[in-house]
Order: sequence, then C-alpha cells, then structure tokens
Amino acid sequence: MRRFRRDRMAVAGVILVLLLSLVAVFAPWIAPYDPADQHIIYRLRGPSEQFRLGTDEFGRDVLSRLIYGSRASLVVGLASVLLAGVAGTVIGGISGYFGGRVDQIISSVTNILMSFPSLLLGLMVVVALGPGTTNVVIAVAMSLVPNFIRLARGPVLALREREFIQACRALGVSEFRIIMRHVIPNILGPISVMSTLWIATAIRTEASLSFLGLGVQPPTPSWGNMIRSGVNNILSNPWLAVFSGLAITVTVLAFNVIGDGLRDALDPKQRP
Amino acid sequence: MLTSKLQAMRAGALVLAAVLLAACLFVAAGGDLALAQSRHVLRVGSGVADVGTLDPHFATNFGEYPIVKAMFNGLVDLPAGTVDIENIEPDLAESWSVSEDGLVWTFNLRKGVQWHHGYGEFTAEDVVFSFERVASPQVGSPWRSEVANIKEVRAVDRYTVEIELHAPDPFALLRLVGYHSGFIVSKKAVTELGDEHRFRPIGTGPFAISEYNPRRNVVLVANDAYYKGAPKLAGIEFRFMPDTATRELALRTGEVDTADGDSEQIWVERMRAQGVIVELVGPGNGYFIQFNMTKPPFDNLKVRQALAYAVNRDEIVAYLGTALARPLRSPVPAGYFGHTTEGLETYEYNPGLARQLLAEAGYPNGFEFEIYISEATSYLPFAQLLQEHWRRIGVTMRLNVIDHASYHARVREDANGVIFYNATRLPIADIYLSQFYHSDAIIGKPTAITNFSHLGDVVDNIDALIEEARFEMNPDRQKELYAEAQRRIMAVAAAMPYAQRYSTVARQPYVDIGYSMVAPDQFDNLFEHYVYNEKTSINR
Repeated sequence: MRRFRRDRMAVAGVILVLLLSLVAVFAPWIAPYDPADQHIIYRLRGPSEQFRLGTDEFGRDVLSRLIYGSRASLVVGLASVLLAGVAGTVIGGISGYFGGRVDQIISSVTNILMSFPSLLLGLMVVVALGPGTTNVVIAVAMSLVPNFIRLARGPVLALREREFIQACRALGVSEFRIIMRHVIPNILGPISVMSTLWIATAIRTEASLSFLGLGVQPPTPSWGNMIRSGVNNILSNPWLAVFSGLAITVTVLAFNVIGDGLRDALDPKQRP
Repeated sequence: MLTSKLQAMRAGALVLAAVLLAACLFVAAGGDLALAQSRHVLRVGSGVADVGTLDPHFATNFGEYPIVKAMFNGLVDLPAGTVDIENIEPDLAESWSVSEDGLVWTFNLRKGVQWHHGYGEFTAEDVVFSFERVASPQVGSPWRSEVANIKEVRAVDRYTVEIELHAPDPFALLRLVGYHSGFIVSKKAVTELGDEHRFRPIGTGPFAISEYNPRRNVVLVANDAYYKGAPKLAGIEFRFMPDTATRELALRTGEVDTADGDSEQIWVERMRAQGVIVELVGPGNGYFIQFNMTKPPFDNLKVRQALAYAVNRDEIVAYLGTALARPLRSPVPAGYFGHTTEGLETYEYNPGLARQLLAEAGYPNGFEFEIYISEATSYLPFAQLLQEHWRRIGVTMRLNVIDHASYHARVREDANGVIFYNATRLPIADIYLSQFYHSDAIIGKPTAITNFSHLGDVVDNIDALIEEARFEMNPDRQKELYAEAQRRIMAVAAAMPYAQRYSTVARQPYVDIGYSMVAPDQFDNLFEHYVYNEKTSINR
C-alpha cells in the first residue's frame, strides 16, 4: 500500500476517479440545468456565461449533460466489470480447479470468444438484446468475461497442486469451502489489478456502442452519444465533440493509471 | 490516394476537353463559331452517389430527375421553375382541346421535332407507345398508377393524338406534364436499344446523353436542333457528390457551378456568406405524426388532443431553421392544391389545456409508452423534440432507436402508437389524402400504403370525400371537399402536422438559370432541384 501511495500518478488517478464518482452521485445538485431541457433558440452555441460549455443541437446544456453522462459511463464501467469479474472468476475457477473435461470445454469456448474483438462481441450482444442501458451492461460484461476466465484459470490451476490445498482436501474440507476460503482470496490480487484496467476498456466500449446509437438511449446523455451528436454538428459547433471526447479520455486515463499503479505495488518482481 | 485523384482529375479533364471539342465541332458545322466560343459546360454537384437509370419512365431516385428533365419533354409542361398548375404550357403538343364530357383530350403535335442522335422525327406513334409503355404491367414502370385513368391513347394521324379517360379528371393535364409518367420516349430508340436505353436514353430535349460513368458523372451535350432554340450551354456535367461537405468545398473553390444544397440553416448562412446564391425549392416536405387509433391510450380522443396541444411548432421550426421551414397546420402541406387551414382545429401550443385534457382522459399524472424510431436524421431528432414537449406535460415516450429500413417495416406492423413520418408528393391534396387517410391505404390491408392511424376503419371515414373530390371538375367545389376532409382529420386528431421543410439548391452568381424562381418566398418552385433548359447560361 505504501508503494502505491508513493506513485504520484496513481494517486492522481484515484483522486480523479473519486471526484468523478462524487460528480456522478451528486449530479442533480451540481448540474446547472436538467440534461434533457431543450432551449431551442440557443442551439449549437459555443461556451458562454449562460451555458458554460455551450449547447448541443437541441439547445441542451453540454455541461449538465457531461455531468449526467458520467453516470452512464461509471455505471456501465463498474457494473459490467463487476458482473464479468464475478462470473469470469467463478467459471475460470471451476475450470482450473476441476480440470479435465470441464476445463477443456470452458477453455475452448473462451478461446472462441477471445477471437472476437471486444467491441464486435458487444455489438452482437446489443443487436440481439436491443439497445438500452441494462443491455449495454450485459453486452460489455459479455465482452469481458473471457478475459476474466483466462485470468482466474491459470493461478487456480497452479494453486490446486499446492500443499495447503492438498492438506485441506486431506482434512475433508468441502470443495466449495476450499474454493471460497482458500482459492479465491489467493487470486484476488491480479484480478483487482486487471479489473481496474478493464473498467477503462468497459467505459470505452460503452462510448463506442453509444456512438453507434446502440448504447444509452435518448434523451439520457452518455459521453458516447454526445460525441455522436458532436460529430454530426462538427462544422457548426466543434466544441461538442471536444468536451465529450475529453471527458472519456481523462476518465479512461485515470483508470489506466490506477491499474498500473496497483500492478506495480502488488508485483514484487517489478520493483525498480 | 494522390495519384488516383490525379488520374481521376486527368481523366475528368480529358472527358471535358473531348466534350468541349465535340460541342465546338458540332456547332462549327452549323456555322455559329461565335456562339461556340462563349458556351460553357455547366458543372453540377449532384447530391447522390450514382444513378440507377436515366430512362424517364423508371427514374425515381432524387438525383435522376434533373438529368432526365434536361433530355426529355412531355406533351405539356409547367412554366419553368414553378408548380403553377393553372398555367400549364404547350411543349411537344402545340395545342389541345377537350370533349364536352371531359373524357377525350385531343393534342396537336409539334411538327419536325427530331429525336437525339438521329433517331428520326417525333410523331403520334411515339406518344401512343410512351403511354402504353408506362401502363404495361410487363414493363413495370413505377409510375403506372399515374396513368390508371387513361383508357386509350390513339394516333389519329401523324401529328394528332387522342387520349381517352375512364372518368373526367380535373388534373388530367397536370398528369401529362414532363414529370415521371408524362415524359415521351422514342419508340424506335426504346425498341432498338433495349436494355441499353437505361443509360443511353434518346429524348427530344435541349440536351442529349453523351456519356455515363458509374459513380462519377453523367455528361450531356447541347442539342442545337432543339425546337425552342439552341441551348446557351455547350453541355452539362452532373458530378456525383453524395457528401455535403464535398459539395460545399466544390462550390467554395468554384469546382462546380451549381449543386444540391443541405437543408440546414447554418449551411445556408455559411454558403451565402461565401457569395454563393442559395435558393429554396419546393413543393416542401411535410412533417407530421399519426396516432394509431386502435392502440390504447391513443384510441382516446382526449389523449390524442392533449399530445397535439403539447407540441410546440415554433420550437421545431427553430430547430429546422426559420429560413428553411415553416409550421404546418394541416394534413396537406402548404402550396399543395387544396391545402387549407381555414376552419381547422390546428391545436396551437397550449400545455395547460394539454394537462387538463390528460386529466379528463384519466391520466392526471401522465403515462408512459415506447415507440420504435428510425436513426435517420429526418426522423430521430423529431422524436427527441416531441419527447421533450411531452415530458413537459408528464408523458414519457421511451425511444427504441433502430435502423431506417427496420423502422419502416415495424410501423407497418402496428408496432407504434405514435408514427413519425415525412413525405414529399405531387403537390395536389388528392395524393396526400389518398395515401395517408383513405381506408384502402390502412396498413395491413392488401391495398396498404401509409395510413397508420386506421382512420376510415375506426373513428371516422373520409373515403367518400376524397373520391368525390378526385373527379370534381369545379375547382371551387373541389377545394371545399378537400377542406372538409382536412377539417375532419384534424377534428379527430388522427394526425398532428407540425412542420414543412424545403430543399435548397445553390449556384454561383455567374450562373443564369434561364428563368426566375417564381416568388422564392412562396416556396412553390418545382421539385427539389434546378431545372436546366436551353436558356440556362454561364456569364463570365
């Protein structure tokens, strides 16, 4: 932990993410306008005193939409990684712990899924389920699950042969208890590192899906659908694409920096 | 990339040079060298990626009409640049008369008109052939229904044609103008060329086909034997430029002389600031919603009226741009024959009344519903605008955004309670009313067109009015019938029309289109494009 605290970049990332979470939670109190309120006569204006970051094609306040849009990004980012993390770890754990046929089947399915780019996988799921926030969470989770399965399976495979697990088994501890009490806690380290990095991926995937019109549905703002509207009106008000793009970049960067910091802190071999 | 562009440019230059040379030689043969030197080729930035055909009886795509119009004529025509249906002019027919009962129209044809590229003289036989071709189910022209009222076309002699109708039609002459089914083709050329006629059409107009390069351009050359006089241009090159930004740049750099515009106020302002002349053309696209009156809660009149009163037309017009759009208050767009707002319940914006009506209908706290909506820019933004207007009275409309083709399929399966639509049609009330409000046009029927409201089977039926008006020869009485139809549609709130948007065309200041755009603020110029004729010229 001390090592992590000494990593200035990582600390900056944590502060950013905390700030962002506060913004998302307190959006109704921070945002100057309702994000769906249309002020048509002020449409496509640049930044001004009345609208700090300008307005979009319907005259909606861009700052308010960015603030509310953070909810979509964070919710999708965290929920999908949590979902994928739990499901992936359990499946990967089973696969690694029991081995044999089960392992073979799970591994080959994982390999097939891994051969698709995650955006394509997400796209297929959304097209099958239909657009909407919940479905986007499921889609992004689906695209991340194979990564978690891979991640969990390896260490479990190694752990299975370790003496203390063998000892547990000899003492007659149930398989479920062994997995829960001894195996999972031992692989939480790498999983938490990768989860942080994959939150960034999830946020990017959500933005891409929303950009393609398959993510969060109007009038709910998300950074992805804001970029789309910005691109449509790029000759009239270039700020629109700039601000929403910046929000995504900064957030993704923050999670990546935290992930890197965690990895450095947890991995004794990479000590400088 | 650069080399392919260079090659394309080089090829384009070669083509242009060849066309110019050909045109010069052509004119020189006629001994008019002075004219040849001052003639230019007009370069048009066409807003489509390609054309599917240049055969006038099949051309349906947005970009095909102006090309076909420059090559072909009808028996009669609208005055250039207008849809003035009261002043239809002679074209291939010099004069005409109609029998007492209004059933037989006799046309005296112009003598000595020559088909392009040596296909001989235009005669009565070509007229008979053309109308029989459009009417033939085997040929399969998309404009077949427009000639459904024609019983027979007879060649009385080489220069006289009789057209017999099934029933008297007040718009008989309008249906014969050079537009869609009214164009006359050469019997000899169509028969001899066969499939080749699609891209080597033979007409009688001021310009003749020279070449067609798929996805690049169509080049026309002047027809100096044209009966209204030799064209002032040496030719026209229609360049395919589907991307708005490309056309904008081409106009700015003078790479094209005229172009299809973008229907965005900001675009119009930007182009005008650059010294480019931007003009609006009609007849105008009507934007409206229909309520599916078989689906609760939209089967309740008060709910429909409440939603209608909550629509703020001024905000929608501001969104579209006040220079390009106007509020629409009738089921028939303004400028279409028969349109009226007189005596109509137009549902002027009144959120207070809307809330009161909702409460009376049993929804004091509003309600929620979900619709499918197309992702197309002519659909989705309007759903988002109305979504906000209705949110203000407590009604939540959830949007399920899908692709354009799926949207059109879904709304025809009664999937939506509210249907967003916009359409441009021949500017007479009959077509809009028949397609959107006649009971035959109700979706799900074998004769379905675009009646999504089910008006005619539920709530009210205006079929008799539409049919009576269609064959009413007294224009005042006809207008009355149309007005009554529009009043009844609005009274039951089957639809809520909210805006009408016009297309834009742009030209360099040195281009003289050859006629004045009649009353440009009235938006009654014809059909979304410039029409190029023998008088169109470049003066620099």
